[in-house]
Amino acid sequence: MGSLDAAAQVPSSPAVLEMDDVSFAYGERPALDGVSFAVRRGEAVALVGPNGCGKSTVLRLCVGLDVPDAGTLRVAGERVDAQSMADAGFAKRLRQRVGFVFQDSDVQLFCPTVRDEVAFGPRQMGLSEDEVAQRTNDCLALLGIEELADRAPYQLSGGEKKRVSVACVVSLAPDLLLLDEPTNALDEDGERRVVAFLRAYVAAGHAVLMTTHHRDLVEALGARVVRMDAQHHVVAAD
Amino acid sequence: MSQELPTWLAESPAYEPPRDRDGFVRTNLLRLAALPARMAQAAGKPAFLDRLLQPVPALVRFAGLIVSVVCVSAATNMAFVWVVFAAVLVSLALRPLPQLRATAPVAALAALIAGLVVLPGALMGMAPPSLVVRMAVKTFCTVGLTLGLAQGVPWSRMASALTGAHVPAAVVFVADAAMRGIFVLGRVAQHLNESLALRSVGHNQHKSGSAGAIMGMTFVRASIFAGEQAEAMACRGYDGTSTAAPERASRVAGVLYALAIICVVALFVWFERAMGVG
Ligand SMILES: Nc1ncnc2c1ncn2[C@@H]1O[C@H](COP(=O)(O)OP(=O)(O)OP(=O)(O)O)[C@@H](O)[C@H]1O
Ligand SMILES: [Mg+2]
Repeated sequence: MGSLDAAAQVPSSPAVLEMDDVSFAYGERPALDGVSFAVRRGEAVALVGPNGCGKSTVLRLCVGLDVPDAGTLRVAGERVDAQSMADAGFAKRLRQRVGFVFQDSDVQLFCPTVRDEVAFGPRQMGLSEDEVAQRTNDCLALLGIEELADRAPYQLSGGEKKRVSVACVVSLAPDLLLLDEPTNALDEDGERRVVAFLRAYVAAGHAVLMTTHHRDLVEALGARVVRMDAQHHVVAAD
Repeated sequence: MSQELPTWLAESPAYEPPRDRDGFVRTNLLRLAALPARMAQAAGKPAFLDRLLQPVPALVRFAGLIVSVVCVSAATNMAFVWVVFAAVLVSLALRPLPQLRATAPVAALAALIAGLVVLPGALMGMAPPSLVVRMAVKTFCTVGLTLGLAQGVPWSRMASALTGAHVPAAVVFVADAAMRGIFVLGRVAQHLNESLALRSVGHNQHKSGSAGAIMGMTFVRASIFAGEQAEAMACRGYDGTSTAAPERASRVAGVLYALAIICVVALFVWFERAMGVG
């Protein structure tokens, strides 16, 4: 199933995500132009760059919401393109493996309560109700939102919603977590919680790819920086 | 602050999704709701036909649409309807692929639904079988014409035209707000839909339930958004008067377009008179 090419090139740890010369346009408007970079297991990568350079688009491609016009994208060694995404089984496996936290939490939350929201993914996976409850409680605790469990998601504050949307993606037990500007709505305590969780998540051998405009978040996570420019290129990956 | 991950998350065991026939209703209902957003995305570069019709005043095109739709609906002679059907097909074919993808499936789906609605009657012998085809083709024509205008004339231009025609500002504002509402609804539905797809990693026993939840949430979100937008407009000094600048269009093009519409009506009358019910 998975190819081991990537592991051969990167002896330290295998790449969970590889973009090679990927281009993408929304209709006539280019959003990515020959973008290449990789994310390995056990690392956090921060995608930075000016507004409109294509950061969010990179994340959309990684989870198969859009597919590259040119170039190759591999997740866990498997190629993600129009053909593979047409296979419903592949798409579902990809979406369990890769969790995507949207920039706008409102679009992510659609269940009547926070508990249902977090339980939605595990239930989809066909876990027993005991396991579902276990995962749900763990996720609520990990993000410090136990007391929100029975509230309606659309009534929460911006920062509360953000933590709920992280929890409802984490409950799928993804290998790679994509976050689009995760700390924008968070207060200091909320940010500390999310950072502590992400550090533990990365330390366990998973990977994080996030977009951000905040240097302190990059530092708090010890993230490697991949920089994009206004021409939709990757200019530096340190 | 350091944290322990629960084992299910630390190990993240391999997952093999069960088979699941993705809900026809869910996919199509949501696709339909997301239409305005997709049409706006497809708008990009104006199609050849729209560039050609650019100078025609928006109101004349709107009147043209109404007249054509009335003719198609009223036609007892299918020959006229087939002519319009051919014209709609040609106009669709002249559109760039993304626009075509946003319109043709909707027109086809609407036609299918219209056909299905009369199918039982036809099967039980209460209506002639030709009615099924007739309904489907007529629906395809009217929906195709309407979507064509919606894509060709941005709503902002239509609002300007209404203002120019001395329609009261309050009426234009309400129509304007309604249009924005429809667009926002579509965009919210599209995003919620994507988010549902991302977390639908297995067998969804509550398919219609989640589609319902999404539709419900779409309305909640859209009404919250509409309220917030009204507040934001008030903060920027909106007092209920003009929102749109007057439209600039060519009178000659308007007259030519009106003549073309008159030809369509003449064609309609000729077919109805000369050829009778067919
Ligand atoms: N749905 C869309 N339709 C058309 N163009 C789009 C769409 N989404 C994004 N774009 C365009 O693609 C380009 C890249 O957008 P993207 O959202 O990836 O930027 P970004 O780097 O995330 O910006 P920001 O820092 O503001 O979040 C931009 O020029 C944007 O205008
Ligand atoms: Mg962005």
